[in-house]
Amino acid sequence: MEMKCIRFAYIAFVLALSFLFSSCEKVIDLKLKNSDAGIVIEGAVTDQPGPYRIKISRKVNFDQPNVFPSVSGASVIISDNIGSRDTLKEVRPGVYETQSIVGVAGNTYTLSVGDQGNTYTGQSVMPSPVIIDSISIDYFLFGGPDSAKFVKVTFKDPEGVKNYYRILEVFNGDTLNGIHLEDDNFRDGQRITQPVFEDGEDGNFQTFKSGDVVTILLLSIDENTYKYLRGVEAVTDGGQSSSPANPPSNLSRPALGCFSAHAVTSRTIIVK
Amino acid sequence: MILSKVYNLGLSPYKGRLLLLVLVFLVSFKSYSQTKHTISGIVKDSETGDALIGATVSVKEAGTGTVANENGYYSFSLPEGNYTLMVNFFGYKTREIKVDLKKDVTVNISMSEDVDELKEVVVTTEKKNDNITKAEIGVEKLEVKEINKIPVLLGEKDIIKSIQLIPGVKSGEGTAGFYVRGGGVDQNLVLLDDAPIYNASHLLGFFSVFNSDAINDLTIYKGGIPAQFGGRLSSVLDIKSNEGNYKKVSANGGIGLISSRLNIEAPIVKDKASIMVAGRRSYADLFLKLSPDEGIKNSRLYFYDLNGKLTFRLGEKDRVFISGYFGRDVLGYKKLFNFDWGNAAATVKWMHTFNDKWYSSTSLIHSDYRYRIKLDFSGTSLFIISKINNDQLKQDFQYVQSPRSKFNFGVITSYLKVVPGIVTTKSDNTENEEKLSNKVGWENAAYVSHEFKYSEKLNFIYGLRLTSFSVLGPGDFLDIDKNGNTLDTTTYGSGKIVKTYLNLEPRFAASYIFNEKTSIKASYCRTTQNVHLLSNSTSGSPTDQWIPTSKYVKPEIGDQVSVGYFRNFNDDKFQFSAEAYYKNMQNQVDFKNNAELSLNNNVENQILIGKGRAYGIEFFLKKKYGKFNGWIGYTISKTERKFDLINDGAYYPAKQDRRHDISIVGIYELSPKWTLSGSWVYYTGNAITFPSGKYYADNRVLFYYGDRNQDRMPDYHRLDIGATWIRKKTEKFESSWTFSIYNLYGRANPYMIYFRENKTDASKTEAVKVTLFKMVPSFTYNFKF
Repeated sequence: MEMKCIRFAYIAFVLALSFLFSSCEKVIDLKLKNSDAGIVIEGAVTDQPGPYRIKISRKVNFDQPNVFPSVSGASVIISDNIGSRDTLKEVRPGVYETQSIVGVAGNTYTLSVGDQGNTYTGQSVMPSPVIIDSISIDYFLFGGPDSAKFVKVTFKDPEGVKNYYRILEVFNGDTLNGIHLEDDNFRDGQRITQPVFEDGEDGNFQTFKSGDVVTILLLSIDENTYKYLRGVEAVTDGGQSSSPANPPSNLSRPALGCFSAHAVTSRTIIVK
Repeated sequence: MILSKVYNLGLSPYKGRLLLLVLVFLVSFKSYSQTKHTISGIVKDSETGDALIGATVSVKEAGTGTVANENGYYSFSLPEGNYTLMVNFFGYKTREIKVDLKKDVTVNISMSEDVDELKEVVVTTEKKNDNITKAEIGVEKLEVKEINKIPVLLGEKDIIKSIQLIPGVKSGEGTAGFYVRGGGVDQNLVLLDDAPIYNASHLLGFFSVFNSDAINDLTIYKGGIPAQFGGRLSSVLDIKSNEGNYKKVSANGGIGLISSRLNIEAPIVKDKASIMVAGRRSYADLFLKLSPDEGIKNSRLYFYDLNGKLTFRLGEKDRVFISGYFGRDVLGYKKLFNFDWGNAAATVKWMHTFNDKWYSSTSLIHSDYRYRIKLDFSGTSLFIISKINNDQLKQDFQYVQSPRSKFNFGVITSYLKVVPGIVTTKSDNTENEEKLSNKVGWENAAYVSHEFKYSEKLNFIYGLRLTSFSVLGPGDFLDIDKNGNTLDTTTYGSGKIVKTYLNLEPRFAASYIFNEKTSIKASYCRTTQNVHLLSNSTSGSPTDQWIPTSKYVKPEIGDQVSVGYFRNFNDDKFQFSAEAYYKNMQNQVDFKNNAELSLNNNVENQILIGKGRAYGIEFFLKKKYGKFNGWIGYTISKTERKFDLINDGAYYPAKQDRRHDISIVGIYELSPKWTLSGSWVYYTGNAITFPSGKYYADNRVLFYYGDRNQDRMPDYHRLDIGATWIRKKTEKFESSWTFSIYNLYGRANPYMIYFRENKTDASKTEAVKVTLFKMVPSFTYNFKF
């Protein structure tokens, strides 16, 4: 939160500057380095009913179209610490689904992917779910009801354990793309009230109208997933970092992506 | 009588005569020294009464000279006789004063400004070739008068922008701070009246915090840093503010596009005490008020600076000043968001001249930098404050043994406290305060420096500085291995010494003078640094965090060797120099990949410790006098860093690495009313990390980054022109207009480059260049009375 606040301050600052100096933008042709076709593995086990999915693809050069070759024919296995082992079935090119394994909070899940003679593994411990107390549509106090609106989520952080959260908004059936990450630094065991700002059209905040169905998903994630998503967030917002880096993957190098075991709770409201 | 005594001693006439000769010699030697008298006094500005620090007073007949000290006080001893004192100070008419020396005399010298300085060639004296004869190397001194003619962005004359036109000093458009010989932004010691300024820029580096109306002069040391300065690795920028006017009330100021400024000077007690107050405020935000958009109308974006100086002359031998600075940047949006940051500094300095040999100065210094962020939404507010605080007590002595030998020595004690962040959250009726642990350090240093003219050909400045830095409790201190992994934590109580580092810093500079036009110089200096700035954005941000040396972060150590060739042409009208340097830097800090720096209590485990090296050659051709003056500077250089965990431990280009850097400055006085100026800069783009590929994860396209700093920003170049028109000039009132065009040929230099999905075709990604300034004309009205 505080981190976001500082980033917000910084972005506001750069925006104010570009406003002040009426800066101009231009698409340029930049000679960039090429990269190899490295493997990207992504997927999750949750405490919800399966099947759970693992997607495997490859990266491409920057100037190529956004078509990412899928990796077929890989051997994909998910196992847990209580003796279950599930070999995933490729249901579409590059998409693999579990057959039997069941996600339970507190268990450790291990993913193993074999492709072209290389094996990539990753592990994640599923945290306990955290119940959402309430959600509501709110607006900036000083802006009045006509100003930008957002969803406000309240939940109580369990005391004495380190918690990491990801909040997702599902708006009329579409899962929105915003990355909302929280930890319980400075507020362990407290009731946490969190605004969820999502983008609407043209860079404005999203708008709500009567009848909209809004669902909030509260994901309890482990530390590695949190760090990975932090990394995703950092590379997503523009490239002003002097040390931009790939999100730290919990999979064996050089694989990109993340394997996460997380617990999910949700709450839905209909906008009046 | 002596002769008879000798005979009475029974010596042979021959031996007696020899002894007599020796005696006569001794006696005459003694009488020679007995009849030496002292000439001393103060050099001041005839109009304002300001001490002219650094004015040279030379004796034509004796070939010796001295420089007025910080009191404006000069003194030397000479045998009885008739002498001509020649007094020189840049921008002032040279004065010749006849002195019939029979006893100790006080000669106070008033000098008047040479308004035609740029027009006519001033009589050349031996002091015009200081650049050749002095042992100093890597030193550049600029007078504000000189700087004021250089065209600048939006007409805001700016000392920091001007020094960036000197070879070896680099910066970028919209980059806070500057880089000297491959050093980082935080490795410059920026001193305003001896107080360190932690963040010398406003608005992300577009303007400096120094209101040039309040500044008298500045000196930058790029290498061969004298032992009296310490605490930063790369350079010292020593800025002295104006003294108030001792004679009458005067004011000057300007009204510009972006800001207005006013400087008032007045005597409190004529010739005894004076005051200077200067203020500046930007007002771009006033235009925001005109906007019909409620949001923009209620936005805030401005900065201001206040400078003040009180000076008391307590007799001829004592001077006390109290100098203060306060500045802030403010950015806000309605009541929702407020963000402000800035420096505050104060110095009390007492300068005492004991006699013609001993001089002392005692300073009490305070400096701080802070930022505050306030965010309010829906009844919940969040308030963050972060600051760095520094208090110093400094005692310096100067002992002038002879015109050939001068000693500087002193001690300094400094207390440093960093408050990384206090976060207060308030909602409805609960308030919660969280505090990152403070970081406290205590630095002590002692130095001695000797400026010595061994012969007419050979000059030395050498010295030694001993620095100790103690990391103080209270707090938890981490034991971290060199890859940034935390091994252990130890808790220390308040005021407990956690660890003390001792560093010995030798400094040495020498010049060998071939003739009055040519010399070579060499220097070696070791410098250390105990505060480090953590910045993870390409352009620097006001929220960048300072951290002191700790158990894990060791004092940075820099060793620089430089050699130079100096040559003057045409009666010293043209000064040429070529300086080569090699710098080795130890205990440098950089970040781990994916570092979380903001409000992280264990920020240290996000840091990596490595080393750096920088080398280059700087060429400088300057025309200092005449109707046309200016300079050409060219630097070829390389700056690299090495960290075990970055780029597999290989040397990689530092962000400020720049192969070529050219600056050309020209000022031409067309007529007494019109002065034209122009400057052109060119430099290789900074090293940066661009994506080398992309992949799909988390329902979005993510860019893939390879090794750090393997790409380059496009080359930068820009031409600025300016003109000053003196509209009216009388004894009582002067007014002028300054016109300037920044980036005359509209080069679209990148401020930043970012990468995104193509807006119309989401299957493509593209690079976008953001340019801030394409041809910005501006004008400023200046007045003085």
